[in-house]
Amino acid sequence: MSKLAIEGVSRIFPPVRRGMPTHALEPTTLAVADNDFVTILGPSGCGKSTLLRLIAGLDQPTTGKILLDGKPVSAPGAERGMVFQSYTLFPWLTVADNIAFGLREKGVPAPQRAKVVHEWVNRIGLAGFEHHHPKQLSGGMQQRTAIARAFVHDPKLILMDEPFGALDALTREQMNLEMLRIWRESGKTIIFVTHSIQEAVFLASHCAVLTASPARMAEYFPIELPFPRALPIKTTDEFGAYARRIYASLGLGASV
Amino acid sequence: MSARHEATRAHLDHGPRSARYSVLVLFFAGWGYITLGGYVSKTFLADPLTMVEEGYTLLVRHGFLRDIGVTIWRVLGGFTLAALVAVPIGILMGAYKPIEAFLEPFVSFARYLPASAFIPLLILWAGIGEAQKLLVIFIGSVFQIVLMVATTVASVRRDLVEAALTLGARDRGILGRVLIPASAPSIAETLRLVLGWAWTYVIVAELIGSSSGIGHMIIDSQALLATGQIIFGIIVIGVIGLISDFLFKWGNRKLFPWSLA
Repeated sequence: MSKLAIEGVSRIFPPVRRGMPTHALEPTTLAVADNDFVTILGPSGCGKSTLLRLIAGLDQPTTGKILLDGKPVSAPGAERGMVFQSYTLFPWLTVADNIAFGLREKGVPAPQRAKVVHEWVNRIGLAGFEHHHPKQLSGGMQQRTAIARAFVHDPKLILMDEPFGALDALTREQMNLEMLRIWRESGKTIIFVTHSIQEAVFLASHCAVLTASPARMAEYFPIELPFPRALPIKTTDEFGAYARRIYASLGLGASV
Repeated sequence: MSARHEATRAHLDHGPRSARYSVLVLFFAGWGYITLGGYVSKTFLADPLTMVEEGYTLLVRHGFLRDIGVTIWRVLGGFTLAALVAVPIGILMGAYKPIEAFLEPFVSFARYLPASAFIPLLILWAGIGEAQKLLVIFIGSVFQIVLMVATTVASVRRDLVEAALTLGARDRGILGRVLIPASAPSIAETLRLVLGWAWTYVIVAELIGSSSGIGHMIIDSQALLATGQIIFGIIVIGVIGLISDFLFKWGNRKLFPWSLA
């Protein structure tokens, strides 16, 4: 049985002011195995964020169902952690308190919280910044903290919505590398939405390509590049072949 | 939101100190010129020197300090009562749609009822004692605070709430660990504004039926045509307002350093 099963899930938003209803996501079916790193790639308006919000339980599908470990998803819950594109650290909490938020909500006692937080602060390279507030951190550091906050209470599934979209190119590559390391160390199942082809191929064990209008899944295929991966893998022919395949399925293959 | 506003403005108005106070100086100079120069009758407007002299007499001989104390006590009492009632109601209204739907129409209506118009009624109900003064301030402040707090809480960033939901927070966690801390700086800012209005209500209440307080002194001075005392009373109110404002801002900066950009 797959970890996460998405069965015929669609989302139609009701019309706004006598307009047409918005088909944000056409019926989509997807099976994600345990310990998979699935990237969902597509242009804006392809429904990839909508799909992620449906899995998170922040929104309800119009048709179809979403099963996590065989149980239907209906509301947000701690077993599905999420990292958002916008910086959503709580600005009144320090880095350490932000990371500990979910643990406190779960009722984990303070000494144990401190131990786990300490471990994660080191893992994301933010030792010495525990008592900083989010506004004192760079964008990259904020997203690292957000990643730790989502991982720390051990969810079954991590959802990431273009988490590195606002970072500069080099910081982004650095973060991709760290993301792979954290994924391999933690053995989590991750669903990662992006609009970068490089990111989608580099991180993924499986890649789903969505197209806009109609907002539906065009392709879903495994990325069979060996692990561990280093950034220069992006210059290999195998990597290039995946990138070409994605360009083609997005209709971006033509010359001018 | 407003706290953030203040912070950005503080960066912009780095004018020289002399420029910042020049309007104040100009005001006193103009006042001195028309009164001491004899352009305005002393009966209607005292000059600054007379004002200072009469103010000194008020403080030393007529126990004006006690009046100031009484007025401050009334403002703080009525305002604190209003805040204690209004802040929790406002938070609940902002957080829960059904509560908002239930209370909002009444509070919006009540907000436009002028507190000063209640004074005759309140005198009938509560006499001219302290209860009446506190009630005037309470009525004048409570609905304003409820609505402003409700708006603040309702406008907390949606993505912060969603982040908390995906971290396993339920209703109580969302309220106590997201909505309240996120709106605390703006709530404090609301209280600072409303405290300023409370000063208007207390003086009106003291003008109409009172035997002590700054407003009472002002109305007594009118009978004696002591315009210097009246102006002194008004300036004392201004100075107290300025001090309380300063204390509030300082407190907010200490309490919510994270909210300053």
